[in-house]
Amino acid sequence: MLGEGTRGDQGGEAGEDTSLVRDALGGDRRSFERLVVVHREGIYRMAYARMQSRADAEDVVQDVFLSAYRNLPSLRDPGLFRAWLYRIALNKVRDFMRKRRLMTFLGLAHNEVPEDYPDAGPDGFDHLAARQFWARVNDFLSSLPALQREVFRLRFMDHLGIQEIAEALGRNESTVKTHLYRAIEKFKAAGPQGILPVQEES
Amino acid sequence: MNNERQDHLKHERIVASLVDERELASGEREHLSSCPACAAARESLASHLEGLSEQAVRHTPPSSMKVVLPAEQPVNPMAWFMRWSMGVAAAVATVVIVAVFLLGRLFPGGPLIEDTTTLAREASRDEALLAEVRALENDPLPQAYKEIIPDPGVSLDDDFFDFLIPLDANGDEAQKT
Repeated sequence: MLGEGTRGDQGGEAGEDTSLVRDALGGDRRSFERLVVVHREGIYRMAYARMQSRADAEDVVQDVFLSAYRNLPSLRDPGLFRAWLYRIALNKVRDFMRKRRLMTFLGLAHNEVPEDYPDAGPDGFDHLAARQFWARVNDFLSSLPALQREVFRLRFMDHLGIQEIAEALGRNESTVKTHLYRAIEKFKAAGPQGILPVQEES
Repeated sequence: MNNERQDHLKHERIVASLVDERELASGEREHLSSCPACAAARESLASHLEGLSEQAVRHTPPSSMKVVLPAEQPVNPMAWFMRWSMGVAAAVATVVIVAVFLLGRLFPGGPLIEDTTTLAREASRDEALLAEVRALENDPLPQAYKEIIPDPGVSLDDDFFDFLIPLDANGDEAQKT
């Protein structure tokens, strides 16, 4: 899976995206709704990985698709829909984080993750393990320069290809590869075992 | 002696293969597919990166939110044009209103001139105002102020200056430093 191609791990979805985007541009609302179904989970995970708040991530998802719906005519290449969507999402997350920082500075919000973490929620989700995992990931990612961090996340957490990352970040592919290379080197140097939790034997 | 070891891919090349396999030369690619040691080194790093990805999914709480799209018409390529047309129409309307106003000011005898009754009322108000200004020129202070100011015939004498600038014991003016 890793290192294959430059359009990410999307496989046949890219072709489906292109067709759906064209139909949506022609006024077919159902096609856009299908695009939402295909990409909602990915955008949610992408936002959650950066904000670690379910409520904030869900707000971002809503904003991203609303913005995409309104600005779809500005998308030049329907084949790059996913990269374009992630570009919107990155901007929304950044705006959201800035707003959160401003609110914290003004004393109107807490700086910490706003969610209350019980050990395990009613849905069986282990919040404590999640908090520990994200704390380790954040520690590692915060040691990377901003561009390396974003390239690394987009490649290995969001599964975008090199070309898609380049489109999403507005950089050329060569720059993306250079930063990805350095980030992998640092990941290896940091000791992946320290970042990844020990797998439970079952 | 160490020929086999020297042929192994360097660590940087293994990392490069994870960035994009096409970065490898054909000889390097062949070596990677035939050398168990190099393949294992690549596989180890790749599995850690995939592990990170899987863990990220596992540690993201599930969400069942529903994206709500606006109820208006679906995306319309002409929508932006319509918005711009409305803006241009509003700008033109503003220019027309300003032009009519300015024409009215420049040509007061035109159709915007007001009726004679209004003009006569305004002329009467202007006359009253000018009369008041002339009266103030001749006698600017109201009666209440006139009662508290001194008689204009009284001059500033020596006693008043002594009050302002007291004399010292020798009868000279106090030293001012």
